[in-house]
Amino acid sequence: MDKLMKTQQPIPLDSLMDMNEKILQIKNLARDLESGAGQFPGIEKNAKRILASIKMMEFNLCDAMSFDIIDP
Amino acid sequence: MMESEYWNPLLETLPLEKLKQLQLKKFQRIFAWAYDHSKFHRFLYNKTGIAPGDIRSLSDIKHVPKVEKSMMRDIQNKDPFPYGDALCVPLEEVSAFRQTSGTTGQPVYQPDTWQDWEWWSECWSYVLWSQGYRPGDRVFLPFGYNIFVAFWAGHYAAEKLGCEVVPGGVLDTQARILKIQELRATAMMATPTYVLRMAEVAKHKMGIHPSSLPINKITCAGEPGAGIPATKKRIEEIFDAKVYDHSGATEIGAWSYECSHQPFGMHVNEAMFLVEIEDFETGEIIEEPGKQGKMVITALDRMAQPCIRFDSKDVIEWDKDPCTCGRTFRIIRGGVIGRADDITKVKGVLLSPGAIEEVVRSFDGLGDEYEVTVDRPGDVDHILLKVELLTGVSRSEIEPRLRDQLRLKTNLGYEIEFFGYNSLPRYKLKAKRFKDLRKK
Repeated sequence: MDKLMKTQQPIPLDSLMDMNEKILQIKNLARDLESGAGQFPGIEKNAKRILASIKMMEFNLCDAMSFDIIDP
Repeated sequence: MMESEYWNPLLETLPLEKLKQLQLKKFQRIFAWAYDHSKFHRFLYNKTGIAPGDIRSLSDIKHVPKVEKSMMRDIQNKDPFPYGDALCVPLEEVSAFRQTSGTTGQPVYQPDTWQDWEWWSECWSYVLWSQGYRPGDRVFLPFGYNIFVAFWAGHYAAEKLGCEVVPGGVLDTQARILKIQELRATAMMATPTYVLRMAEVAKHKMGIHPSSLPINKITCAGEPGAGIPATKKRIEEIFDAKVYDHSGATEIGAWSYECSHQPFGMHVNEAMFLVEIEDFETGEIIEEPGKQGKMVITALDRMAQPCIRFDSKDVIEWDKDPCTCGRTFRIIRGGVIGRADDITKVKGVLLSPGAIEEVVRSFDGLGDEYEVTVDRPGDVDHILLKVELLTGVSRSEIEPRLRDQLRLKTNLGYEIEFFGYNSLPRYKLKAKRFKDLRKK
């Protein structure tokens, strides 16, 4: 191999767990907003969009945490 | 704080063994989702006697029946209109329609929810971040914004990354070139065929040398070109820009990308897709590097119309070396080498159209365009190659070397017809340069 392998410091587990926790909290908040805003489309529909973005954070981090892929 | 090299520093550097654990869990989830929510999938799996609880290890996945494109066409005749019964969400949840280009037959309709569109742009975010797109880039998208997926998700991903996006939709090629120049766009995304077309128009019709444009990186997709060294070199030289390969498909998603280290291949996004390479003859799954086979792919997080063990017909092989970028996502060597439909036996020899392109575009005296026709006028196969000679280039100087190289790279002999520059057809999106007239 003619080039050096790039390495980046891994993110500490504490930080990963902290981010994971916050994502789940924000998900619960957005879900509450969506379900409680039936008569307010301007809130309900935006909460739904936020939930779709939160899902991407779940794919990026929470799945690996909940499936026990990350070693403590 | 130092900027991350990776869009996802956790998953893109996960050891392969861990990635495989993640893939198994995600496969179990999407398989159960499809089984529970889609009549099409449940019927398909029940027929084979396989149910969600049967997937206990990655090796169990090969027992899950594959889905062919023709099956997706057939289900469109069923309810709910217009998608059919592979739809896993209520119709009112579908927020976007796209369809395949129909290159291989009747187009397939693709329903996506808003979450699926977020997912599309998330997949593309991995692509663009790895290729060095950053805030401050002004990204020009010269494609017709319409019913085809094309670079739509690349547009959204570039916005997500913090780039400025210029949608060059309903403009002709000259207007697009002028807009790139006027706005000092730094990056663009297009098919390799169209990138070459833009270069040709800029140079020959407008007197603008493409290297004078401020574009410093180009993401190519839709065709294998950017993975073919001679084509990549040609584009990089003429634009004085880095050219990166990417592969995706309407029914699948944006599943692979060449990173800025240009490892002569593309990383498979193994956190979001499961790629299996199937032996052409035996159908066994190939794990070892260096052996070509047909890609069977699962999008692990696509929900509205899942893509589970889709028989893509793309021909790929695993690379034996990891990339110097530090990503652990494996590399498919040389990108998508071709399509199983196009790789054909001629005079008993396997011929890939990409190998011909590699030879033609390695000759400076030949134009970008070429055409290959395989026929069998009598009992013997015959290949006709049409190429364009650039002005001032001597045929007698090129022809013997071209024949030698073709023989060397493909083990076959050709009838070669030479044309003047700008005689062969030009394409705007995907090109059709290979015709096998024996398939009637």
